[in-house]
Amino acid sequence: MSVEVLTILMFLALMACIAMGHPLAVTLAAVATLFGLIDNGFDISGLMGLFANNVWGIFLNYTLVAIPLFIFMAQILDRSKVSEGLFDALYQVLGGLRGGLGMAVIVVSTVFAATTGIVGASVVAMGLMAGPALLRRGYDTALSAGIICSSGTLGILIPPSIMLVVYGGLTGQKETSVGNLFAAAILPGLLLSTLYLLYVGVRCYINPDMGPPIPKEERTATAMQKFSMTMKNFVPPFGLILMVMGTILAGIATPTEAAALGCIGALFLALVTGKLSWSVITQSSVSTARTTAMIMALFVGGKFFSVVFLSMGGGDVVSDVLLGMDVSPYVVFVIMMAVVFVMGMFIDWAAILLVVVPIFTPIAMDLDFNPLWFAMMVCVNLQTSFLTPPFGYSLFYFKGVAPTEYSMGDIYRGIIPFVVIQLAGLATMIAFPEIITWLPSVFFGGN
Amino acid sequence: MFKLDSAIDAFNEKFGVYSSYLVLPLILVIFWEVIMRYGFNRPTSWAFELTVFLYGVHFSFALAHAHKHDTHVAIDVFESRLPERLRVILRIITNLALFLPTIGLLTVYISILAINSWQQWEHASSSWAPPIYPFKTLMAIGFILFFLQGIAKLLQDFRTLKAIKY
Repeated sequence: MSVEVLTILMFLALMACIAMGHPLAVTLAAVATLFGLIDNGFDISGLMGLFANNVWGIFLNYTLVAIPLFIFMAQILDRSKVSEGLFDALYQVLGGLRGGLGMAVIVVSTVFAATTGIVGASVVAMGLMAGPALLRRGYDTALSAGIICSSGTLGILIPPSIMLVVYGGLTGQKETSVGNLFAAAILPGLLLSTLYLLYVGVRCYINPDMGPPIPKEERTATAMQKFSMTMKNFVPPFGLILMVMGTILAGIATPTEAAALGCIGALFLALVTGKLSWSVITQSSVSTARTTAMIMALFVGGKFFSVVFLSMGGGDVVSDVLLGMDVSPYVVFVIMMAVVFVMGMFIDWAAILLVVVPIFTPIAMDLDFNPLWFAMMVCVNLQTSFLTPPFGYSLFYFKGVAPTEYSMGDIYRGIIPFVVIQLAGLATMIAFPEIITWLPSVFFGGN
Repeated sequence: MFKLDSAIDAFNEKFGVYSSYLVLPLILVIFWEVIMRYGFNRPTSWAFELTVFLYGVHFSFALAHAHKHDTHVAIDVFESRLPERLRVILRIITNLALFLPTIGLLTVYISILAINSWQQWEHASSSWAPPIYPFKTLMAIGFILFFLQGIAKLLQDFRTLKAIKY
């Protein structure tokens, strides 16, 4: 069988197996095993020996140690209810504006995003807390669903983020080290958050029925009270993030070390607010282990898939097709982004990252794209994948915890403007790559 | 009556909860290294490797527990629309066709990797030079438990299939 046929068959087999609903990690590994055996003439011990060594390589991958640590930090913070306090404070501060409550949700999600690094946690927390609140205030259901889902998804992009750790651990390149990726993701994350804020502000200013201000009699707090409430709830989580990010960006600690410091800080915060107990530690440890196992299993399965795919020559097939078109590099770039975007409608970010990045990165390098910029474009695109129907995971997380007034139709309608904003954000980062490359050059001088 | 799948379930549940606490020593080892390096300018020779080993054992041991709780992401959007009986049959088929052969083979070869390490009395080539064989063994144990959890699921699905009235 020719390489071209094998390449196409491998992807078709993957898609068929994925649709059967078996865990993605195992499916990737199974397809990799089958095609690896076809490719090497059924040398079982050769292929499986290689796979076993790959698992051992992942076992020794120091970069990936940050994954359980950042998850644990988020679990502890989540259980110490930092986001609730901040939301209550901003409710008072921004509530008087048209769309103010919606903007409060976005601000809280942005800060919370910086502390979590996983999407499920932010969307679930905001859905439980802000979903009923927005509804009670007469917010348009579609708009409020869009606000919660999209801003909750910032968690995957704004550092420290698990996705960026996986990316850094996968490529192992100096240009796309976790530190560089963290520095690069700050401005894109803030840009998207600002665009959301602008959209909600303008939309509700024009049409106050979509997001009415809170009546005056419910906004009793004085300016002084508002200030102290905000500070009391904003400073601890923000201070923690500043410590974690600061030590990484200043080059004092590796991301893994900073993550461990973040865990100590989160435990300390929980202790002083009286939220720390052995059951909180147990619950956090157990859900950390499960989420870590899920991501690491995908890492193993994705690794097998890309090892087989690349050694079979599939990478060359894809790059021959893309580079053989004789068009502008940007057309190739747009095609690669479109592939990621469409895959994102159906499968999970980690699987896309682990399958696509090893194939696309060499092509992007051939076309002289900046590796860090390219990485960030993929990551913003993957963030969007949480929002795109039919299978946007954020939408399902939200549906799972939101009041029943939110129908799936409302959620789908509500998310569309935010997906358009995401794409506008991507376009902005293409036009002004400095948004991505400037901070890393400040902190790491381009290394 | 002794049921193999309940025994596997019960063991993996307990084992998963206890091993999840490994994240705590992981945090402490890194914290200790940071303090020694920046506080006392005396970096340890062992923290780096111990960190990696703890993380590796932590995730290897968690694989089975995550499988028991269906935490491993799957695209179940098509599957969830099928009638109950078909869904169980599909689960049995994918388990037999994808999970058991792949994870089974992988478990065997990871165990071989561990056995080879014992035979060579393998140590890391660092100044601390810790033994490698215990860790390869622990990794193999994690995969064996993962595989067993797949067997437990298969047995449970067969029982569910029998119980469904149609």
